Amino acid sequence: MLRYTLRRIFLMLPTLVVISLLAFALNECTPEPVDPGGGGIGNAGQTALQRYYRERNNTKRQAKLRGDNLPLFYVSIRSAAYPDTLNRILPRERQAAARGLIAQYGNWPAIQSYNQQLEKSIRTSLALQETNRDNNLIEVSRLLQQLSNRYESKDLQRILGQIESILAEAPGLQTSIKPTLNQLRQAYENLLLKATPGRHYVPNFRWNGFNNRYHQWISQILGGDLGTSRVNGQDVSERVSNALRWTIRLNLSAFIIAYLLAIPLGVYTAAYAGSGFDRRLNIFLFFIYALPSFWVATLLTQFLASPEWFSIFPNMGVGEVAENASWGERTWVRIYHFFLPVFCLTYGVLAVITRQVRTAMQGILQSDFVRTARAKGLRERRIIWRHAFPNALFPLITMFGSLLPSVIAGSIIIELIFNIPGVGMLTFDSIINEDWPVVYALLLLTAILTVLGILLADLLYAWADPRVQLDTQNQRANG
Amino acid sequence: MASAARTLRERLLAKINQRASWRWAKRGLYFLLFIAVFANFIANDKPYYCEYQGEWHTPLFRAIAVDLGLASWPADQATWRWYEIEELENVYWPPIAYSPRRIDLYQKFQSPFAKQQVERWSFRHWLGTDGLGRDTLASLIWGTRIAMLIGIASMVISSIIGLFLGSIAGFFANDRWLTTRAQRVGGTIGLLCGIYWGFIVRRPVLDLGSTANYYLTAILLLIGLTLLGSYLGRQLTPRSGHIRPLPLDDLIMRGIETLNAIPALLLLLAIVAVIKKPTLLSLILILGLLRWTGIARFVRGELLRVRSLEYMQATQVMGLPPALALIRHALPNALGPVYVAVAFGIAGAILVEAGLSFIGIGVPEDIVTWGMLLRNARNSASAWWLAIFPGLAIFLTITVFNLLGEAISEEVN
Repeated sequence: MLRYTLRRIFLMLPTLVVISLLAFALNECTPEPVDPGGGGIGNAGQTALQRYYRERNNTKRQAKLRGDNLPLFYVSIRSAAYPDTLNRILPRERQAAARGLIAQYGNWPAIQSYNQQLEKSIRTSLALQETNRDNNLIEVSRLLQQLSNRYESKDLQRILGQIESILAEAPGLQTSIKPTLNQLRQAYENLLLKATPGRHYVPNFRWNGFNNRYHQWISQILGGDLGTSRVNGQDVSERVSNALRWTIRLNLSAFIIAYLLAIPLGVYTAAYAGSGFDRRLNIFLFFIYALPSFWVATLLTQFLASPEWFSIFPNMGVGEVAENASWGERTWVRIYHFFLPVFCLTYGVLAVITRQVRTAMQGILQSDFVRTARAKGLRERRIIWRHAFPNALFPLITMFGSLLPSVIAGSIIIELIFNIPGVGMLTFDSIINEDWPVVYALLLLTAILTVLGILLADLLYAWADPRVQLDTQNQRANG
Repeated sequence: MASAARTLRERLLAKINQRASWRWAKRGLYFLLFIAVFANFIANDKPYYCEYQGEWHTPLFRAIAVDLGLASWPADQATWRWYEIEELENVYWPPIAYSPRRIDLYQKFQSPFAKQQVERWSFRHWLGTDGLGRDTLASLIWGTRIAMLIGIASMVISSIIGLFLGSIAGFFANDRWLTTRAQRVGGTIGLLCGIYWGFIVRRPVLDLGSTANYYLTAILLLIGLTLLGSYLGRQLTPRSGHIRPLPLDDLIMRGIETLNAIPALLLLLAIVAVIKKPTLLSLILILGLLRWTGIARFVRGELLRVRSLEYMQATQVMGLPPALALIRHALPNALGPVYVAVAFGIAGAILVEAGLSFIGIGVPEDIVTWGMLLRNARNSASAWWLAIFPGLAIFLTITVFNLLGEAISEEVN
């Protein structure tokens, strides 16, 4: 058993790594939050150049806080055209622009000198604004700043052309900024001339060490720190644990009720297979299984929990309980509020579990040892519950493993309809508010729990039915 | 064994005709397909044919031709609202003379059973209207098209992936794809080159916005270079020595386990949310790419059984190439379980689509879906018809596919 357990755990590890990579990759793909920027307040007396420096430093600092200056992963494979220092270019838009330029021209020194020239031109144009509040000048510096985020050659040509046509019409600027801009033009031409796109075909492997974004992210999460919400700065672990309270109560009660109903129903219909009750129940479960729970939930809230029709149930939330309320009162409020959502969660699971129990029981009841028990003259009830039922439990164990994650992940739709502040609602809110740290932390968390649930089910199964261990060992030996 | 001689298709059809409920499911499927295909002919606010000021027009057909890019409107007709023109003569309207999103504030919250202020009985709102006077039946009919499209198209994608990976895992398992060491080395080098030149070097293509081009070319490069590498490895070195099978089954099953370990709905939401502007195609692709594991497992299981049968050993003895044996002889006999998975899979995909559009994530807002109708119904509790009918449509569609799946699975097993 120990060997089997260890092997299962060992097999689980790559799965967990792949899942974490997936969540991390998705997290990286999400759009950055729109930067409020440091400008606006307290910069009335500043010059354009000071403002520019301030904003740049601000965005750089924020980008560093997010870890944008670190490489993505332990190793990086990129083409030899990319410099190792690429991820130190901040903020991300400039980095993307630099990457785009490298992708097209592949000559890093030329691109670097073009970038430096561009930065110099921007500063010159901004410095000139201190003495000369010319509209043309302001337009030129705006275009230059636009240029620093662009990399497609048609954009670059267009913007450079625009700048030159402005200069041609404004003789006042000829002496002041023209030389710098000429140099910029030259640097651009140089870039086109000395392009070495061939360098892309040479790969360049690099070991980045542990100071990378994935490592930071995963070690934070493994340390129990799921990050902070982008929306309200709250600790994600705290939000998740608050939400978990409701989700676990809700789903656990639904599953317990479903199991309590399904086991006797399944066993009974298997024992009396083909009877009228069995057939009717089968049809009933078939239809119940196809009923979308969000439709049922919508109908129930509309007709049983709204002032328009019947106001039998409370329409929203989990209910308020006074601080000093007695235990009975507290329970009553919860049951009253949970009745409809638990009902909606239960009926679908009920159909699945009942069918499982019935199929398993039917198979067992036809086996030889049951016939022996009958021949021995045991009572039918004893045969069913003492001899057959324990053997029919195996599929239930497997099902338990697959149900465990949904206890935690919750049902987004049901929680939304009944306004229960659980994990499902948290997920939905986070997606709507683009609060990605929460979304991917939840994704990772539930995925890990799913893997653990499967592991637990497998181990329970192997413990209950030792043939499983033997099977896998045989497979090893033969394969 | 007369039944064994019949093809799988004939057997399945015969099975479906055995029971009344399955026959009804079959009719239901035909009905749904008919509605889905002809939705814009059934519910439309343009007449089939009409005469106006001495000239005859076929506005509905012309509108469809315009949508397909085959025709164009005469300059003055492009903005006409045909339903507002009173002096149309000899006019033939579609059975439901409304378009799904046509707003009519004089017809707010019409109950299906109440008396309605309409010109003729054929203009009745059979299933009522919503708070903006939009016809529920017309919306349901157009929603059928979306539901069926998403269900079937995403399942086609899933089936292709599932059949491909499942048949490799099941047929070659861990022991039948034999490779020499040179082949393995060459293949690995080719794979790495494919990753590098296909994905990494071409990364800027993605930034320029041609996503489909990027991924398709990259995957083709990956496969091509891997095959080329292993081919070269085999040709350049002597064939003998270090022959070992590739553990294809283990690899693929491990991938499936990983994918299954992630809660499907959460992963779906996480991916859907990353996409900046959801389209119908993106939804179909995501559903298709995430839901193939069931089919792959079924195919694998069935092929593991089939490949140990005597006639498959005969193909080996006769020296048939394994790929040919798989496609011509093994796969056709392993398709049964796939049909089961496809039937239930379509039902599942329709349910997921309805759920997504119910919470309003990942489905474009400008198309009419059943889930969206149900979501809108929540705002007006007194209009019971808004909540009943879309849900009923989802329920009946899912039931149809579940019944068909049940029939097929009873025949196959």
